[in-house]
Amino acid sequence: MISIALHSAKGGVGKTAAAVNLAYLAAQHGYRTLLWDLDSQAATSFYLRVKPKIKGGGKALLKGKSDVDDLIKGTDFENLDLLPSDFSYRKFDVILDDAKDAGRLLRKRLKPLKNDYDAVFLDCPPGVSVLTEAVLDACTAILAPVIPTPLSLNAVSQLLDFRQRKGYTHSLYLPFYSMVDKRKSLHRGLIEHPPALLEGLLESHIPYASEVEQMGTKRAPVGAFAPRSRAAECYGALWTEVSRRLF
Amino acid sequence: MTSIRSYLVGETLSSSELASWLCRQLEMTDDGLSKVSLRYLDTADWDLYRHNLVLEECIVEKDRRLRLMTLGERRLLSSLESKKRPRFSFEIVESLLGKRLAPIIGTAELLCMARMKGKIHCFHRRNEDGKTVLKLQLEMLNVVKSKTASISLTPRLQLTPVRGYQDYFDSAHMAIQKELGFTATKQDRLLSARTSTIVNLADEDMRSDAESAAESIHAKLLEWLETAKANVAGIYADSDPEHLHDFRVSIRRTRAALKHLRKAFPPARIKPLAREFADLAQNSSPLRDFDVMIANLKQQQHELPDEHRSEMTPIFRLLRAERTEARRRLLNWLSSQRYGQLIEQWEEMLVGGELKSALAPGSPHPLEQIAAEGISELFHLTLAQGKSISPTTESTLLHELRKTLKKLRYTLELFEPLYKKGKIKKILKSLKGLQEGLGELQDADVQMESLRWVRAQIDHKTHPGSITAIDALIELRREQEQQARRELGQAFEAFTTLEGRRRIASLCATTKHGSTS
Repeated sequence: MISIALHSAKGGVGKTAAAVNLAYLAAQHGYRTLLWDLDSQAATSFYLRVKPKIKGGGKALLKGKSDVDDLIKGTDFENLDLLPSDFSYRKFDVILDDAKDAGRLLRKRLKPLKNDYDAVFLDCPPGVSVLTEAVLDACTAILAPVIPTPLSLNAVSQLLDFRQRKGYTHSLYLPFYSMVDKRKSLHRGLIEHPPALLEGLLESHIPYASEVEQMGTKRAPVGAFAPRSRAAECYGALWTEVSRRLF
Repeated sequence: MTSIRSYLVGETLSSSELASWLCRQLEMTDDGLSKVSLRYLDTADWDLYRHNLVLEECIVEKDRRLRLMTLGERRLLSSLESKKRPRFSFEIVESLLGKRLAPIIGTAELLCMARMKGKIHCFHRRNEDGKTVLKLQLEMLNVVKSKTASISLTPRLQLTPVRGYQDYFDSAHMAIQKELGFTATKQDRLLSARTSTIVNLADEDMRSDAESAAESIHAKLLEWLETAKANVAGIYADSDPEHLHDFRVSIRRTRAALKHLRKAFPPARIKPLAREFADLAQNSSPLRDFDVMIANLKQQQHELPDEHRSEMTPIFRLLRAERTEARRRLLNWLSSQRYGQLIEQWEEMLVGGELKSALAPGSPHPLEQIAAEGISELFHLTLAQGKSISPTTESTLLHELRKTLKKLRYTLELFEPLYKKGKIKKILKSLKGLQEGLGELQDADVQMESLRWVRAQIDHKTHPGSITAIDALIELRREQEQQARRELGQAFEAFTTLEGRRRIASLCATTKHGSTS
C-alpha cells in the first residue's frame, strides 16, 4: 500500500482539490483507494458529500480505540472510500504531542488498511505541526502543491528545512505547481525557471481553473463532472506522473 | 462489510411495476436502462476461476471496463478502462490489473469463456446530502450461445451496499425478501455464463473421443438445468402451460440421469439431490394435471350434444379454483430457499467440475459401463413388465410400463453421444410406437379418472345436467381406452422383435470407444 500525503505549510494552494482529484483518478485506474480527510475544515468530506463526523472522534481514532474499518465511508465512485473529517481533528496536534512517537502512531493506524487498499491519500491541514511530522515520517510520499509565487515558495522552504532538521528524508517529496495562471509573468517565469528549492518538481501543473472551483457546487471530482476539461486533463497528467514514480 | 446480494426475480411483477415499487418503497432514484454486454475472460485452464476470481469485461453504452473481482461476493480487486480487450496480461502490464493478473495467469492467453448481453436498469438511493447510500440494479441478461442463439436468464436484482451506510442496505434487503418474496442467491453470474460455454461444446460436436462424449453428456445436463431455470419465469407469469411442461420434462430427464450417474459418486453424494428433485417433480404434478384436465375438457366439450355443453361451466369454475391452489403451492416451492439451494447445488456440481471429473475417461466408474448397465437394466425391466400385456391388464401396471419406457428413452438420449451416430435413433424410433400407444391409454385413463373426480365434486341436485355431461364424456374415454388396449400388444411385439433386442444388446456390449466389461 502506498500512502501519499497532500501537504503544504501554506493554505489555499489547492491541496484538497488535488487530493480529491488524484484519489479519484487512482480509483479510476483500478487502485482500491482511501482518502483520509485530516483537515478539521472538512473540505474533502464536503466535496464527496460525506458528513464530517466520526464515531468517538479523532482521539479514539488515533489512539486505536475506534476500529478504522467502521469509520470508513464509501463514496459515489467505484474503488474510492473516504475516512471523513471530524471537528475534533483540530486537536490532533495535542493528541500526537502526547504520544512519544507521532509517526509510529499514524503508521499503526494505517497498517490495518493495507489489505483493503492499494493507495491511501491523506489530505492534511496547512501548517507545520506535529501532524506534519507524523505524516512526513509515516507516508511513502509527500505531494506538495506550490503556487508559483514567492510566499508559496517560502512555505516550501520552511517545510524542507523542518524535514531536514527532523530527519524525515526517507519519504519522497514531490512538489508540483498549482493554481497556475499563465497570464501572469511571475507564474510563467517560475515555471520556465523553477528555483533550485523545488528539486524533483513534477512536470505537470494544475491551472487556476473554474472547473476546480466548481467542485464546491458539484461536490465531485473534476473528472466526474467535466472529464474533458483542461483541469481534468492536467490532473490526469499529474496522476500519470505520480503513478509512474510511486506505483 | 456485507457484500453484494443478488435475488432471483419472480415474475409476479412486471419490470415497470418492480421499478415503481423500488422507487416508492425503497426511495430509489431511477437511473434508467442501459444496454450492456458482458464477457468473461479466463485462460483455457480457468486459472482465474480456480483462484476464485472473475475477470469481467463490461461494456455499457460506449464505456468499456475490465473488472477483476472475487467470485460470488464480487468484491472489486481492480478495474481498468480499456479501449481494447487484452489477450495477455503483459499487454496491460503497466496497469494494476495487469500486475494482479500476471502472477496468476503468467503468459497464458485470455480467452472469452462466456458472453452475456442484455439490459441493466440502475437505481440508487441518496441521503439528504445527495450522497449515494445504496445501489441497486435489475439485470435482464441473455447468455449468448452463438450468433443466433441465446438463453435468457432469470432476471436478477443486485443490491450493492455502500460502505458505512449499512442500515439502508439491511432495510432494503428485508423489504425485498419479505414484501417481494424474492430469493437471495449466492451464485455468481459467471456460473450461469459458464454453463453456456460448456453447452457450446456440445453444439459444435467437435470431437469424437471419449472425452468429447463425456462433455456432451455433461452439456445435456447443463442444458436441461438451463431449460428448467429459463421456464421458471414463465411459470410465475402463467403465460403458457408449456413453460411448466418443459420445466417438468427437464426435471424428469435430470432425475433419470441422476439415477445412473450416482454410480460415479460416493453413495450419499447424489441421494439428497435426487430426493429434492423428486419432491420438486411431485409438487409440480398437480398444476400440470389441472392444466391437462382443463385443456382436455375444453376439447371434449365439443364432443358433447349441444344441450350438455352449457352444463360444463360449473365444472370449469371448480377446476380453475383447484388449479389456482395447485399453482400457489408450486410457486411457494419455487420461491423457497429449498428450491434455490437445490438449483445452486446442482449447478455448482455441474459447473464446478465435480461432475465433469467424475465422468472423465479413466474414472473408476467408466461412463460406458454406467450407460450399458443403465440401458440393460431398464430394457429388461421393460421386457418383464411388457410380458403381461393383455386387453385386461390393470391400468396401474401399464402405467408402470409407460414410466419405465420413458426412463429408457431418457437414458438412451442421455448416453447417445457414447454410441455411433444413428444407433440410438433406430432404437428410439422403434420405441415410439409403443410409447404412443401407452400414452393414449394413459390419456384416456387420466381423463376418466379426472372426470370421475369432477363428478364427485359436483352437487347432483343443483347441477344434474353437468353430471349427465360428465357421464357422456366418461363413456367416450372408455371407448378410446379399449381401442388403445387392443393396439398395445402389437406395438410391444414390434418393439421387442429379435432385431430390436439385438440392437439393445449391442448397446450394452459396446460403445464407439470400445467394449465394456
